[in-house]
Amino acid sequence: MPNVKIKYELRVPNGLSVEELVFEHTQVDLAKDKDPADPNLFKSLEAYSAYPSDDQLRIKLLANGQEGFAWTLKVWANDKSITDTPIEISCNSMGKADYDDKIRWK
Amino acid sequence: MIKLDGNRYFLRFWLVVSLAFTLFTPPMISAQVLVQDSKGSSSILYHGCTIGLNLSEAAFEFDYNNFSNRYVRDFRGHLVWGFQLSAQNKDGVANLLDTGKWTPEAKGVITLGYSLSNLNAKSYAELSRSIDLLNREITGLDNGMDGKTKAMLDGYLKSIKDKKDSDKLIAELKSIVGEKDFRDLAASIQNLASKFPEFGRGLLSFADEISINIGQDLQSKNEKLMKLKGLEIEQRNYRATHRYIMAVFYANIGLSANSFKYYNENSTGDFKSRFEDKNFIGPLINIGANLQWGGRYIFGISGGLKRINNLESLSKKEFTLQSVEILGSQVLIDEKKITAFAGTYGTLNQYNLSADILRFHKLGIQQVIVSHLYLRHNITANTNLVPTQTNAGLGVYYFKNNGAFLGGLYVEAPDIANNIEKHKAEPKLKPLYNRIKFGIIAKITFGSLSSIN
Repeated sequence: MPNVKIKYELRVPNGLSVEELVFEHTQVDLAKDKDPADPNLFKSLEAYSAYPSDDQLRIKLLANGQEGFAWTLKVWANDKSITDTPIEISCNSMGKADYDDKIRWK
Repeated sequence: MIKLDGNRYFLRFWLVVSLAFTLFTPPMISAQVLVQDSKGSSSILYHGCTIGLNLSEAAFEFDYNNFSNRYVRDFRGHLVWGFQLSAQNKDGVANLLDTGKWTPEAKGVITLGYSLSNLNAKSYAELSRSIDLLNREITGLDNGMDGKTKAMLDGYLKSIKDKKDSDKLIAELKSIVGEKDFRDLAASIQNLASKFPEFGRGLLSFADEISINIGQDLQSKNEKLMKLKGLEIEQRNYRATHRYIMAVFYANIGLSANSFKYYNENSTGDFKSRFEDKNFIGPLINIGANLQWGGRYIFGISGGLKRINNLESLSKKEFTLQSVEILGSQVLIDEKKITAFAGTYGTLNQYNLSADILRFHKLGIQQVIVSHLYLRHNITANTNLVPTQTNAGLGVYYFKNNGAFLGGLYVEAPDIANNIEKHKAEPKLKPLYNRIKFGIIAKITFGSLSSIN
């Protein structure tokens, strides 16, 4: 089973709050990863282990807030960037900015 | 010579330091702090940690709070807190350099509240907790199986490493164990038996060993995956059909102060003694509630009590105090200009009601416009000193979708019925359209300090 080492960088604007971030089944400790110098930035201090069943890594992020504001996420798998363009999701009129999809990690 | 006393010096010092600090901090020429009225008040706890400068009101404001959390994972709700400090020269920025025209005002407010959202609803919270638990358990099983298979592989590789032609098999086994899903592992190893017949028996028993050792974990993982799938569908449906609703209930307490020169026309002393320094400090208390409804609206309402003086109702006058000294045939005239407020002075209670509405508009892909409609109604306990007044305003703020504030405009109709001016001894009545205030808005949000959270 591939044991993939995941690193990430998540930028969250003032109009949003993140509820959870999960790589495959591995939950990210956002409270621990909050950047001490920038309250809008979350960054992996250590790599997280994830076990994708194939060459696709599932990324799930749930966020709530005000319409129009968007979070951005960059992800690295085994030190290689797998988000050439950062994932960017805007909050909808329901107040949700959710993402749940698979991206190729190999 | 009329002297300022200690309190007045302190207020003036605070104002100078504040304005100097603000002016030397780069991108912030402004008129009004975000989602507040021109007096710096709002019933909505929205603004983050900010420094604001109001040029038209010569006011400086410092806000520090946790109103804007970027990570909320507390299904029990959470505490909201903040403080606000502000200082202002009531005579405007143009008079800051004129030593006779200083009328400093200052305010300090502490806010405490509690925030709840429909994420706290029992059904959703339990659903999310169950998903968290399953994810943790699945990751635990994966970690366990990863450790077990690697240990078994190491053991098997040690047993064959010295055998002839084992290099190719070792490479293939490492690749299979490192790449294949745990479910396919045993079968993939069994398949190698025909490719490497000299290792056939060993490979088959290695595949059996893996099946036996991780079989139970695999079964447990499959059951958890099935359960997780069902719960995640439920969570997705809940989020798709329930808009985000958040409420905050809060109270704030504080002190406001002002200091000015008062012309007491009833004083029986000499001219100089008619000018008195008035230093006023009054407490204030408010309770309020906010409601975010979906992604588009935040409603705010608050009510409270404030001890004030009637500085706003007094008339500002310019005086020239002359002292004449005659010596023989010579006359020496010493002249001093004094700005003072005249009228009947007093202190009183004021009941404040505030209502605010924020509306978020997505503008294209990368921009957000926030409009802010507000109403302030101040009822006074002594209308002879300060009449009841109503202010209304509209602010429009422009953001990038990453939260960067780009600027804004506001318009405010102060004291719609013009009650304060009507109440003055010499009222200068102007129609509402001549009294409407327009302004530009800018602010700076600082990140480094807010990390203390």
